[in-house]
Amino acid sequence: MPEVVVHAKAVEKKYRDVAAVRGVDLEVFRGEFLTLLGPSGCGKTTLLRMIVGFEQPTTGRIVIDGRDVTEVPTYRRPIGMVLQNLALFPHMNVQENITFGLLTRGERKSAALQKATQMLSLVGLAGFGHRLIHELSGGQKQRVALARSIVLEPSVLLLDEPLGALDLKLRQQMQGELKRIQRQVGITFIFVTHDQEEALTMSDRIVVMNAGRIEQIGAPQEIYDHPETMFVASFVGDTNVFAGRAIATAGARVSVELPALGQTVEVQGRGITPGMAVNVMIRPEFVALDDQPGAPCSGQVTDRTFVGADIRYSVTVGNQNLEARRPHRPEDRMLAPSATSGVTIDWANGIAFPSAA
Amino acid sequence: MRLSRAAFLLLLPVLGMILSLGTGVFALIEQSFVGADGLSLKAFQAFVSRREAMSVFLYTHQMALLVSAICVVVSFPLAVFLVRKQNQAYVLLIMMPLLVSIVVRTYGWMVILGPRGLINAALMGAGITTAPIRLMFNTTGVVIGLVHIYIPFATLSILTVYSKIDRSLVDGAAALGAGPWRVFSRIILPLAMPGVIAAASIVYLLTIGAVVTPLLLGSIQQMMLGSMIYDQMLVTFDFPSAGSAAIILTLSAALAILPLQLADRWVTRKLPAERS
Amino acid sequence: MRGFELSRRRFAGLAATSALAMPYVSTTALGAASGEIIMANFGGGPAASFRNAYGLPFQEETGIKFRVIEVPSTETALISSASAPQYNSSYHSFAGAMRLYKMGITEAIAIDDYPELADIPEKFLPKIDDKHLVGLPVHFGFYGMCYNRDFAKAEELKSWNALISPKFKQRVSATRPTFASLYDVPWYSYMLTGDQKKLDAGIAQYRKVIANSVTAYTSMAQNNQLLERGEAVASAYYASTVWTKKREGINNVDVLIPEEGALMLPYVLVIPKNCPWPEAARKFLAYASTPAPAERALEGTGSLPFNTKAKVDDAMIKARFNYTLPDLVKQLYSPDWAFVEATRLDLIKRLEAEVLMPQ
Repeated sequence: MPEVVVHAKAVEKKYRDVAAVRGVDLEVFRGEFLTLLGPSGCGKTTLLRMIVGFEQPTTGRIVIDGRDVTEVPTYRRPIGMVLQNLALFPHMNVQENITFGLLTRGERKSAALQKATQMLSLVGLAGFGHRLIHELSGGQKQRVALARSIVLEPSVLLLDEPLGALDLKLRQQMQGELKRIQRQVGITFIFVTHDQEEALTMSDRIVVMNAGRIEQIGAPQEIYDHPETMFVASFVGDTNVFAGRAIATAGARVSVELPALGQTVEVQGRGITPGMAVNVMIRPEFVALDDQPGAPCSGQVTDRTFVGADIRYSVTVGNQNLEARRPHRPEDRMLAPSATSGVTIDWANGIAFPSAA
Repeated sequence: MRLSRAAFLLLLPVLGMILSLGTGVFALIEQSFVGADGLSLKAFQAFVSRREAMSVFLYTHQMALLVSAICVVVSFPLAVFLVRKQNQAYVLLIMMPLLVSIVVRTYGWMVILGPRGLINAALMGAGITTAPIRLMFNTTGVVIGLVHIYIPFATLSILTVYSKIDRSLVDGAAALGAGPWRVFSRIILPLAMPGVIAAASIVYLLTIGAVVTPLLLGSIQQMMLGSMIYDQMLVTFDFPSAGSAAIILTLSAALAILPLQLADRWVTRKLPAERS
Repeated sequence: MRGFELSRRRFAGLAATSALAMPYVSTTALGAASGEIIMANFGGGPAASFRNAYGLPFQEETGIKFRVIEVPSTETALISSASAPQYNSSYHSFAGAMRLYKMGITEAIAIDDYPELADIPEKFLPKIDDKHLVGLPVHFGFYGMCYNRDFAKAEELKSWNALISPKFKQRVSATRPTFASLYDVPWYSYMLTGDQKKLDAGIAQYRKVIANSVTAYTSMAQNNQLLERGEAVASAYYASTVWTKKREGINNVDVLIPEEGALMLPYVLVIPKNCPWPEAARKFLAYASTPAPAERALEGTGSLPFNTKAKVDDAMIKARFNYTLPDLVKQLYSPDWAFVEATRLDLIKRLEAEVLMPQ
């Protein structure tokens, strides 16, 4: 059983009558890279701010390192935080930003300076100690923000969408960098993002949140392959959704009638009883387009997007729109928009969820 | 650059202003340097050799120092309060006194601080004192009056800088383990310092030039240089004395403000230059 | 080169034009060009009194338009307009008029031009020489012991020394050196030594009064307030303010003449040199020297006529000043104003050296 660093117990946060976080229970394990993922307004930032102590839970407790810190002010909690806008001190140079926490803690200046130097080389900014904050690039600022928190060796480091302001290329580079640094120092990271791709690439575990609640907690692959709710399925990764009706169930399998295709298919599904209205999700990579005859149904290509490694197609089957994706090979012939194609769906990877209605 | 005739006409009032204001200043400077026997520094020597003039001069600067220090200390929390409140109505409340003339406001203080004023009446009525406490016609009165008049200026100059400080810096510092005092002393105060320095400079200069308040709330030992110059100009028409005193006042004010300006450069040396 | 010459000449011309235009603009704004008497006078009481008692009747009699411009200080007004005089007449203290004459700002008044001067006792004429005056004396007030009746009794103020008695410690007020040099010190000097020129005595007395004062007042408005509220219970001060207050129905401030006597404050009219319309100005002064306007002016401001032919309501003077006119004249001291004026600037500096330093 891994050691729990942060434990949010039945945490609720209400602003006047509006609940931002509702009854969240969450355990964060030592050394893991945990991501809180969800659309804006889902409560992930509020949860983070309660863990760091900027906000007080309306009810529930926050426990860090086995100590109830619900009433403890931020500056006495064993945490670090990289804020969304980084909050670097503009009137201090890089080195002063990094030693700020150490000196606050009462460490000697020489020791603090030595640690700062080490930390700068860890984040790849060796020799930048005397630079002024406004002289740094976006990525360099990220590294300084990270360094000044990590140097304090907090039990847990909270990161509130720190990469949001960067352009894509730099962002991807920083994602890898962040992951590397986290492994190297072994500090527990709680990372907040609304970007599912970022969550998938970096996390050990992902907590998907929606409307103030946790929808699912799991490893990235688990979240992607086995979403537990329709929300997770549609928020993490691309997906096609078919409305249908369950006809029969057998263990974790369920037969669903799909009026849009005029077919009955067998997909995965739990907690479903026959006769129930369901939504069936199927990821684009399980939708195969081939122009050979013999496919169960045929559709018309409406759009085609070439993204390098993949080609994404939009196809209309009956009156249902479908997204399909297939790896690109130079020798393959691309389907032209408005071409007719056979459509084969690997239903074994489909999942049925009770429809909300 | 070529100016059209219309544009030149628009400049005329400005020119008139500069001429009429500038001539006066120039005449005053000239009169203080040119004596009966040609160019001389006699007026300045006379000023420096008069003990009471030097005493008034020193008192003026002492008051400026005291009043600007008090104004800054009082205005800082006021500015913080106003920024936190996020309510324009409060700012308006601070500005309101500026709409009433200084003379009227100063007379108001006389009713409150005088030997038979509200405070003394209350103190004596409650039996706390038997004789009135001197709250005016002394330095206390002048300080109260000047601080009251200059607080809006000081508050506004601190407020403009303080309100631009990113609130997330406080969060960031707290997450680095800094308690309220350290956040204030190492983050808020250094970043608000340009505003504090501006406030101190403004109040210092305003106090140096104060005329009405020291006249009405001080007694004769609280004479300030501004009042002295006023008398020399308008009562005894002693223009050389007034001119030299005015020049000494201006130069000494510039000298007094210089360290503050250097301090401003020092505290902002790491901030981007395009900072407004 | 030629172009430069031209432009420089044009510039000089422009500068000269605007320099000339400035006083022209201001005088036309004041209406001097349309032919009228413009008088500088202190705002408030004196201005109104002069308009009604002197100006309007004069205008009716002669057809010459009359206007009063209210200024904070008539001396300042004349000195600042000396290069381009705007006023035809102005109202001053004796000492002020002497200063202006010395500065070359006002013209001498020829005694022979004003026959009515024969009705003014000779000791009240501010003479330059046997034939000339610095100004035409019109009326006088006095510098009496003004006090608040709610906080002090007349019996307690029988002597000017009451102002330095411990009994009134920090309960009296005094004026500052700029005016003490004109009034308080000359009076105290005379009072204590019988010689107004023995200034040391007067300076010492003034210094004691200042030390006994709650404050040295800086404006008449301020001292009026101090006396009315009782912040100061007594003060060597203009009796005319008591007159005006009583006229307004405010009766708690009164005036008396202590046993040592009191200082007379004479006022004159002057004519600025190169004034816009000197003939009319002289005509106006001649009118002002007759008894009638002074008689009318009394009620408004308590200004007492110099002209012995003027008929005044002695009952009113008694009610407002507590003394009849002959009583007053008997008790009032008229110093040598030329000496006061000549020594004034030095005296101010001496007084400042005495009282400005922190005690």
